[in-house]
Amino acid sequence: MLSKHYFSKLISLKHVPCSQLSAPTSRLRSTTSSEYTSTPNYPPIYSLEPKAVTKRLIESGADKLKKVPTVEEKLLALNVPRYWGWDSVMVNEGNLPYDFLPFAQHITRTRMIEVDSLPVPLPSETLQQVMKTVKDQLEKIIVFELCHRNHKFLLVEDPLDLTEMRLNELYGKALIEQINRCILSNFAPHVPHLVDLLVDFEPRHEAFWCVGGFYPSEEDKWYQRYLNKFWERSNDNLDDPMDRWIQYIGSPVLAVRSRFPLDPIAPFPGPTIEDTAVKPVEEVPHSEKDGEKPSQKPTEIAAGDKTPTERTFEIPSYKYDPRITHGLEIKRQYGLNIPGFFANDRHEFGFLSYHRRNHMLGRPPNFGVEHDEALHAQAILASYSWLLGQACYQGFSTYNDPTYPLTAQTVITDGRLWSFYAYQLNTTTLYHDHIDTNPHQNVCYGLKTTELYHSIEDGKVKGWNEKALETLFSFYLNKCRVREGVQMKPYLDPQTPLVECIEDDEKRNWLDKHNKYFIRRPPKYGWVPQIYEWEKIYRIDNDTMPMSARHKFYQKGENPMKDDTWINRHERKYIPKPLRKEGAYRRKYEKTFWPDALV
Amino acid sequence: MSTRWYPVYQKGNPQLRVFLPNYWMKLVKPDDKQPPDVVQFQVPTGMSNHDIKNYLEKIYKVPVAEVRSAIVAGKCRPWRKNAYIIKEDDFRRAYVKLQRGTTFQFPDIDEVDSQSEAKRKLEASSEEAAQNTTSFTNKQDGERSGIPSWFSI
Repeated sequence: MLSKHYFSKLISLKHVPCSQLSAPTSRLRSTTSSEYTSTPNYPPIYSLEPKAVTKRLIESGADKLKKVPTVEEKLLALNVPRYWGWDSVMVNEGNLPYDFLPFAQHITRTRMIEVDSLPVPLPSETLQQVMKTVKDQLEKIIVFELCHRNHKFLLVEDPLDLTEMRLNELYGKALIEQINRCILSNFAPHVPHLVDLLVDFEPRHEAFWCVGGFYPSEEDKWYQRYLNKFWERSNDNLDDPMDRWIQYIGSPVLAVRSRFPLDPIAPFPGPTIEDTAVKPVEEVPHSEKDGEKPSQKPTEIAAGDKTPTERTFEIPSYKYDPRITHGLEIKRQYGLNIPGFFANDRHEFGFLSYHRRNHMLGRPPNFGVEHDEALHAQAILASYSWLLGQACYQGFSTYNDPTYPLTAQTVITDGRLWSFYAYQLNTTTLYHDHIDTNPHQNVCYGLKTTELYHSIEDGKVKGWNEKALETLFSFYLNKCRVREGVQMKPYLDPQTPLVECIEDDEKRNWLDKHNKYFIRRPPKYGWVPQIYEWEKIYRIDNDTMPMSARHKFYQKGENPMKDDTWINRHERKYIPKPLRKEGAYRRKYEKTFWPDALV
Repeated sequence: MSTRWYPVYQKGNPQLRVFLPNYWMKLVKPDDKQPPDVVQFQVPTGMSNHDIKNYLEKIYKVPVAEVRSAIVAGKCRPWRKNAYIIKEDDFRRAYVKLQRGTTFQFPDIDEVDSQSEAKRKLEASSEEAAQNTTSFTNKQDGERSGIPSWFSI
């Protein structure tokens, strides 16, 4: 036991100047005077509370991820901590439950602004002539595709699948491809930035990010309570907010990419959440008939520079379990960030993407007229995910904020009904407590759904909507160009930003192979750690077998789904003796190159 | 549907039948934190999502947007101490999402109960009496069977 005298010594040392505390031996005594300061510099004191330790671990992981040199290694690093994959909330494009907008806004931190018109760049006179010819061609395209072509031949997989939804998708797809081809080929001679564009047909757009602050579910609490009992901890941590990983999986009909990013549409990093928060106003009696939910209710902004019809959906706090509120599935899988191309593609910035809207036909009538808000949610998720994928290829991630804004243009259409959106990505860090502390927000400007034309009569398109046509053309006229004075890839090694630049053959091949292993979203084979029903009944809930051997993970207080990493579980490849290289040390197993981050 | 058998309806006969469901729904306090427009129920396993929606809309005029439900296994517990394990009945847990603008908050039942203090006292006394009788019968039937009651206290 330490004596009182010991503590008094420690306390008294605090008041001794730093210069007198130098080591008494001459070996340790330094002759330079720079080591001494007038005021003592103590190392920082870290809290040892479990929450603070967890927070420090996560932050150090984020710092490590920032220093990982190549894009592929950064993406690989996300999956290293979970050998069995992450329990992720699956958000599929086209699955839009009732009242989805608050959730979509919360997990992407997006401020949605519904405007009357998006800014349209003034076209030159020659371009106006081109627009007229394009309009004539569009009319021919629409009439041909909808009146003179039998799309049912395209139903190769299941010829009897003639549902309205399926046909809407087919017609929409055919129209979108033709409209994009027509506009690009006609505009390209007059608009220089359209010459060097790439068009992807049905690319994979996937994004994987972490959102903190979710309320734990009963299931999560059950296992936490069990572990607490095992380790003799208190149950204080049951209600702690938890991180959830979101996996978005989508596929637009068509996506156009360019070599340079689009110009930003809003200031960066833009107004903070506090700036745009709705100030509490005098309470108005809220009738049930005409009212929407308070968090959902758009705020009318009566500022001078804004049109009176503009309405803004501020970012709500929606931390509920998405399984209960929206019936989303939580699935164990590897997290993928794919913006539709490989990391070594030169056309690495999105220009425009066209999305389906055939799923709107499947919405039940009792959902009421909230279709525009469902489309807003679809646009927000699609735009955020595509931009996050692009940001990942620039070296940013869900742990490291982008240092410059990225912009996307999104169209949701079936050929006749069109919704236009412009999105700006300002921030991506929403993990752990950043969901509450991060002041920045993303912005999405959107138009209400409009008709491009009213109907087709006698082989003629009737009721053209000039405004929608103008907006569509303007999306092609918005410039993408070099961002001058901006370092595009600050968190990547300038020598080796990609795995293909690594000179070491073994490392390059290994990383390429394993990166592609995850990209194909492999199924897990073999024995997955699980608790059988009889074990839960007779061993966990009721300890009826006290004398049986305790070998299973739940009897040792372990959670294999969290503790098994790729580094400690991956079986290294055996090198047969004749193939081992000569040298001082003949290696029995091949090397592994798992990136050192987040573990 | 009703369990009672009615005579076959002929045109012009008086309307004897009132079609009420055989099901009943139990409104329960939510396990997890939920937004105010989600309500949790426990219903029979045979009830479908459409049944739940129609039940609430037609009988109680509740504007329902979406119903999601799943069958939950009943808990397993020992029948008595150190006895075999028995399983309670399964039920269906339903989450009902209400139409926008409608909210619901589960009432604080403890407060309601605290008002009837007399009722609680009565229950406590009856419980005590029941315990006394069980302890007495246990004595008679269990470890002291065959021994007269005056043998010890």
